[in-house]
Parts: sequence; C-alpha cells; structure tokens
Amino acid sequence: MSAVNKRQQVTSISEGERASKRSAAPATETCDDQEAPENPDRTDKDLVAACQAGDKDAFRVLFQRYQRRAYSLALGVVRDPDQALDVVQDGFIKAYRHIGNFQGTASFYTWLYRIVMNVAIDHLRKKKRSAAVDYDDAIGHSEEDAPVGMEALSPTILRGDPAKEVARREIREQISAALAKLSPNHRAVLVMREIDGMSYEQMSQVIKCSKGTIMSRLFHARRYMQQHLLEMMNADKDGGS
Amino acid sequence: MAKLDDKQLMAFADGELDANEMAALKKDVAGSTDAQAKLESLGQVGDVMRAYYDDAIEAKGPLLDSMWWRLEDKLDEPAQAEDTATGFWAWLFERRAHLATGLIGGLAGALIVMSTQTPPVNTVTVKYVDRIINNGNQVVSASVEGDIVEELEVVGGTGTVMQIPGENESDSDTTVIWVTVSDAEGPI
Repeated sequence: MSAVNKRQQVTSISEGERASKRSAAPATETCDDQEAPENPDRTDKDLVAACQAGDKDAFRVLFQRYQRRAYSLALGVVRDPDQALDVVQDGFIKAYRHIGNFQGTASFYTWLYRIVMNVAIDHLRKKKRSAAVDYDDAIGHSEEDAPVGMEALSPTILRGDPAKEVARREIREQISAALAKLSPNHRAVLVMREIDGMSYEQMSQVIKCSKGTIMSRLFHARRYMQQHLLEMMNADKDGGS
Repeated sequence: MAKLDDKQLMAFADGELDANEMAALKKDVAGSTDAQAKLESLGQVGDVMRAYYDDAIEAKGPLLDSMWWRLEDKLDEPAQAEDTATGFWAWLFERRAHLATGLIGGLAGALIVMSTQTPPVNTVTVKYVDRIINNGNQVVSASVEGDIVEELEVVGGTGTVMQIPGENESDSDTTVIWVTVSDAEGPI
C-alpha cells in the first residue's frame, strides 16, 4: 500500500514542491534497495535467490511488492482493466517459471516489467486490438519523426489543480480516449515514467530499444497529452461558464 | 542565451542529464519564463497521469489484493507449449513478424529481378582468315552487340553481314562478315 500512498501524495503537492521534485537527482533508486514493509531486511536480490532455491513465500513477497506497479503498466498497454488483471497474473506466472533464468544483470523489477510488457503486447495481438485501435497518425510509430504540429512543448499552464479534475468521470473518459490514440509503446513509456518513475535507461531495458527512442516516445506522448489536456480543460471551462 | 531544446528540457525535468548539463540548463531555465512554464506544464501532465492511474488501480484494489490466492495454484501447473519455447526457437518466434516481412520482401525482389532481366547475350565466335592484307594494316573493324553487327568498316573494300541459323533450336546463329577488298579476288 505504501507505493499507492506515495503516488497519492504526489498529486497534492504544491507547485514549488513539484518544481523541486522535477529538478531532483535522477531516479537512481533501484528496487534492490527497497524493502518490503513486512520483510524489512529482504532486498529483491535476497528474495530472488530464495525463489530460485524454491521458496514460494519469497515470490509472494515480490508479487505483493510489484503487483500494483505491474498492473499500471499492463493497464497502460492493454487499456482494459480486466485484461490488465489477466496480464498481471500471466506475467507473474511467467516470471515464477523463469526465475531460474534470472541472472541479476538487470534489476528484478526491470526484468519483471519486460515480461509484463511482452505478455501485454501478446494479449493485444491475440485480441487483435491493434487492428481495432485507431492510432492518431500525428503520433505515428516512427520515433524519429516529429508529429506534425507537435515539435514543441506548450508553455500553457492549466489553471487550478488539473489532477483533481480526474476525479470527474467525464474527464477520466476523455483521458482514456486520448490515451487510446497513443500506440502501446507510447503509453508504456508514459506509465513507466510518470507512475513508476523509471529512468530512461531502465525503460530502454524493458522495451529493448535505445535511450534516444525512449526519449522520443516519451516526448511525443507527453506533448500529445499536454495538447489534449489543454483542449479538455478549456472545453470544460467553456461548458461550465 | 541559445534557444532551449524542448527534449533537453524534458530530460532536465526528468533528471536525466549529467551534472554539467544540469548545471548549465538550470541557469538557462532560471532566465527563461517560457522554459519554466513548459516545465510546469510537463509537471501537470504527470500529475494528471498519476491521478488517472491511481484511480484505476484503486478501482481494482480488492481484486489485486486477492490475486495471490488465484495465482498460487497456477504457479505449479505445467507450462503451456508456447510458454516453453527457449533458445533459438523462442528467438525465432519473437521475430516472426520481421522474418515474414523479410521473406515477402525477398520474394518480391526476386520476382522484380526475374521480370526485368535482359535476355542472355549471344556470343559471337569470330574467326579471322589468317591472311595479311595491305601490309598488316587492319582492314576490317566491326562493332557487335549480341548477334547484331552495329557498325562495320572495311578499308579499301566492302563488307556484307550474313546470319547463318544454327542447325538445331538450341544452336546459336552464326554471324558472318563477308569482306571483299577492292584489289583482291574473292573474299578474305
């Protein structure tokens, strides 16, 4: 639950705290340093070693530690909450079966995320969602191409606290519709960065592409959501006036 | 101050630049209200994303909390066949889309090459009569393309090009250049 509480705190911080948070040191904390509340002395490395020796309870600790984060990534890719649950379940089953192959060259959660990402993409292929989703051509799938009209960030700041507006159903639906227009890879980097605070290097290990590609995808996804939030909030303001 | 690159600004916001770049950009940002506004706006995108996904995760909280009980029984089940592919076959399966594209591309390329191929060039066997005319100076020069004589020059004489078909269908034609030098009797 601590990870969720941490995220809830982020949405209510002041502007000054937000600026200083953004200019803080890179996300270098690895989950090998994290400790489960119920097992304060056990790092990911310890738990993985125990799993590899056949300790299922150790895997349960890892599951409880990362299930919500895995769910947010799965949800980001497949967009359907029930399918995301299936992806998480399948992802952890796969991780358990292949834990013997984990060599520790990357962190456990990067390795887990890669599995969850692959399972999510497979789910999309099986459900043929990619054929049904109408990707916005302006985003495209070429990370090198800047979408038309989306080369630059907007300097427009939304008034008030836009995060609080998410509580409204119609805003959530509009955000969901906007996210649907992004490709799975664009949504994935957005989730990994904004929700999990992963570094570009960590994300490149999960998706198996260059840091430059990660940066391009993240930039375009953020720029796209920025534009949509502006339109959403302005439309909402006009409608309410 | 140089115009700030937005991708670099984003990397600055994410703490992804090295120490020197961070320090340099920090100064530039401090002097640019536009850059500060962009950073603020980026932060709002992040806040909205977190609020959105927080909400979505909490909606499934009870199911996530109870997932372990559903999961535990399945951990020891034997893997599905597609789940056990390892090594080369797993590598191949992962890249099946790329391999299919490559195969189709190769096939298309082969079809294009075959359809644009020029017919084989017939070789012309040239046999010269071993006779020196006009003190060894060349009296005949011919430019041949395939089985077609495109140019013929005879110094001090005339030349005639003749095509003798092969005896069988598989035999190539023979091109004969019949040259008559003005001061000679008969062909050379």
